[in-house]
Amino acid sequence: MIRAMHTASTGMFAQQLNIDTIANNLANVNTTGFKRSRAEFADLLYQISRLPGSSASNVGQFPVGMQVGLGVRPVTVAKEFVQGSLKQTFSELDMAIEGVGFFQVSRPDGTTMYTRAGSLKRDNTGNVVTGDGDTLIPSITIPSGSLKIDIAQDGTVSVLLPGVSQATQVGQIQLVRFDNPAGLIAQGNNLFLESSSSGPAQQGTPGFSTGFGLIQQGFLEISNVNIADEMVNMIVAQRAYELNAKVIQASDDMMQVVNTLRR
Amino acid sequence: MNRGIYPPLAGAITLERRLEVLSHNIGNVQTTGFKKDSPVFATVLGHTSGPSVAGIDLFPRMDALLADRSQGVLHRTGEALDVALEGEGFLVVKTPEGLRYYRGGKLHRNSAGNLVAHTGDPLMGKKGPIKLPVGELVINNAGTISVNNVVVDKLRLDQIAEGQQTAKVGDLFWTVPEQTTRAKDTQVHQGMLEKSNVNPSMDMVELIKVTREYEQMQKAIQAMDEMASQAIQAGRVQG
Repeated sequence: MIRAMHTASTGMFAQQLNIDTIANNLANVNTTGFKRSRAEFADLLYQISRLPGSSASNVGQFPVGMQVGLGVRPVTVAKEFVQGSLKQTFSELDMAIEGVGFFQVSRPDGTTMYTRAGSLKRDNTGNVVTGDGDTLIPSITIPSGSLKIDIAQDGTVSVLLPGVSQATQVGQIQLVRFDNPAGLIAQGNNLFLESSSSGPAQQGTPGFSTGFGLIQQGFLEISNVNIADEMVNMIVAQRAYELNAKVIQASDDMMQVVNTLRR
Repeated sequence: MNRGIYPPLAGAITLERRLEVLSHNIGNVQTTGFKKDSPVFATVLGHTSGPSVAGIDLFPRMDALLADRSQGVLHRTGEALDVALEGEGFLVVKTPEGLRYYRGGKLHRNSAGNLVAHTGDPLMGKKGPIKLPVGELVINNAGTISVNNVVVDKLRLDQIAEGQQTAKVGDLFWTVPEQTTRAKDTQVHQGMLEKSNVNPSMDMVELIKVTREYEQMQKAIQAMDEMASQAIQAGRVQG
């Protein structure tokens, strides 16, 4: 009896985590480069009262066992790195990655982090930085007085200087990729940190055949959260939560029945 | 003594077991690849005390739990590493405790390039644990894995043959029976996941039934108690 109550509470806990995950996805529906998360569950261990195949007294083996399950546990809340749609912004330093790559940035404390949010800016010295002021690796400096910045799909950055008819190349954007991007540690601020399960960052040049993805200037990658999907998931999670609550109520009712056995 | 009180008591205990199974199923209503348990009941002969043939009591008892291996609904996720199985097959995972069957299709690629289950244990292919090179992953309906159009391996798919015994051990794993059989007619769907085969509406009905039947057992016990009480009262009048 008490076991059923605890089992149902593991179900409620799992659905609560599910709702938490959905809430974060929905809150970030307009966050550039955001990747949705999904909670995944697995059944908890089984309390074995009788093993299948154990011998019954004289009739041979029991064909099936009796193992009462003890509920559910959340196992992963992993990011899904599905490509988000691209949104045209016409801003010269907005870049979207079409493919699996990440931009590398250097944080003020010197750590290297990775992001797909390509809404870049220029700081007072002409360095290309993220919205938080983190510099791109390798760093790119836009000379002052540049008339036009041109970023090719392969990541070469050229500028048009006044009085010069030809574009001047000022840098090359490098991307990194990971064997297991789902293993990256989300740091907030659209930033990710490499971990032992993501594998080391592999650096390379964007391009059609390099496997790092293409750079699209003047575009931003919008969040890959699908509102309709999330709404459906939310309804399902809420109903599952209710269902588990009903089991607790039923257990409670049955205990009540026991308590009124003796009048 | 008042022997009639024990069969409804056994019934009540059986109902408690049913509730436990039900709550485990309901807890896993959203668990990918989960297969619900269904209890099997039996009637056992109670102890026949003394020479009286009339004194046979029949007790209900939960005898076994069967895993209902029916197909769960498939839903699209679009993730390259999600696979759903259609049919009776199981994926095979190599855990430190030995091979395990696995139906949860949320797969991952670890930093060593292995295709792994959520526990980090590698999936078995035709040539042992599957290793994936970097690139575009395609898994066809037969389970053949290709990366950048080059065939890498094929998912090992087993099925549990009639009469073979397995047990669920948690984490969506099942023990591998003594004799293994390669799965026939099992389709692999990439970019999809198989939902739990728990049916919430049926479980809700079951939940109501269990609660009401429990109340009936209570009434039976109370009736037996009432009779005993009256017998005692009658004795008092006579005395």
